[in-house]
Amino acid sequence: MTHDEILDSAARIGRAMLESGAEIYRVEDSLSRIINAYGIGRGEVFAIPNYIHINLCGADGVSHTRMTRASTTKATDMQRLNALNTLCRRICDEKPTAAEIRGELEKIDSLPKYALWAQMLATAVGSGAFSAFFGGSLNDALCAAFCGLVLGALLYYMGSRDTNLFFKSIVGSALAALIAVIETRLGLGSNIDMIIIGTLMCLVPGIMITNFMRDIITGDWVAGVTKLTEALLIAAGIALGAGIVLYAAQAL
Amino acid sequence: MIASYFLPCLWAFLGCVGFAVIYNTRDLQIIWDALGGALGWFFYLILLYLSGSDLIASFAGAVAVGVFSEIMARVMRRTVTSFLLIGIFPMVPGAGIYYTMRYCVLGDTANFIATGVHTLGVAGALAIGIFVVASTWRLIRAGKRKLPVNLRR
Repeated sequence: MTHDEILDSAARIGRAMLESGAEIYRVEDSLSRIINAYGIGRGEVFAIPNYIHINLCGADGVSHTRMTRASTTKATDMQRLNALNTLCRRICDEKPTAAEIRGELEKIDSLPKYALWAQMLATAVGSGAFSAFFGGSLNDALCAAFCGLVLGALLYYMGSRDTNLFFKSIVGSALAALIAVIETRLGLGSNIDMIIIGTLMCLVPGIMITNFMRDIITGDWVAGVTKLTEALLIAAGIALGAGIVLYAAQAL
Repeated sequence: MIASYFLPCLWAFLGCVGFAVIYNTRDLQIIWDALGGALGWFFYLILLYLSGSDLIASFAGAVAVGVFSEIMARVMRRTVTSFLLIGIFPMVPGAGIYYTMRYCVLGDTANFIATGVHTLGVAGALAIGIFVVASTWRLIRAGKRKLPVNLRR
């Protein structure tokens, strides 16, 4: 295992972890363990949500460096994160060769995702349940579930094309608000706010804003502030999209 | 009793099932994730009743979900994150941040600041709850798996 092979494997693993939704401290911790596991130098890692920098200083005093950029448009994927975590533990315990790690990573890349219908159904269940959770009636929940069904298809389509997050928020919330307006005008649902907020739970950056606080507390200030910026941008996009539709509906 | 405690937890459970699938969680873990969400919301409601403050309730809910996630991660040999992320979903201030930015684009500065500060407060209470559990857990297990020097905090 050469310095470059270790750094290449670590960069690929780190990038995949960030894109599946791992916290910053977990990425830094795992990569640090990996590059120090082989005992051929002292490694240091720095990560923020869309960037990783890894440095490995060999016994001869020469520094080897990798930087890698991660995409912020990839969907959170818990199955992938769990598989990557298992791989990290295996690397630290068994110290496999670079070819073995590459093989494992390819296996992880080809792990199955849920089909379109399952994701649409999941978004519908999530939206309906959260609409009732926030105090909507059963009718509102059913209306929100229908909004979620359509939104699920839209998110699936935009996700497969790596759409920009801000744009995704505007279009997604505008569509949700539009369907909610039509449903209340037809008399199917009564409380439009409950329908909209239930559906928007799949878009709002609630987890992001909680993780931003965690990053700040654990000392990853740059990562934390980056995440806050992203969360505010997404929330602004959602408010804009829904706002435009609601304003137009009032004017009509 | 049923309407004010059981039903919200049931809705939280169902919602978490949906989001577990959206986050590509597999097999039985979906049910355990959702149970974590319902458990967290149950503790939230009890503490909200006892203290009347949603910040204290959020903190208690986060601690409950945190402990549940650490235990389940050990039992199922998966990452803590995969349980935690779904478990705190009912408590995260997603609606709060949405209303904050809605007041912002409407130009309602007073409500924008009031809602914004409250949203940050809830996020902070959740973060501290999770952080306290994770740190305590690590303290109890300290020495078993030592961190590299540059990552000790």
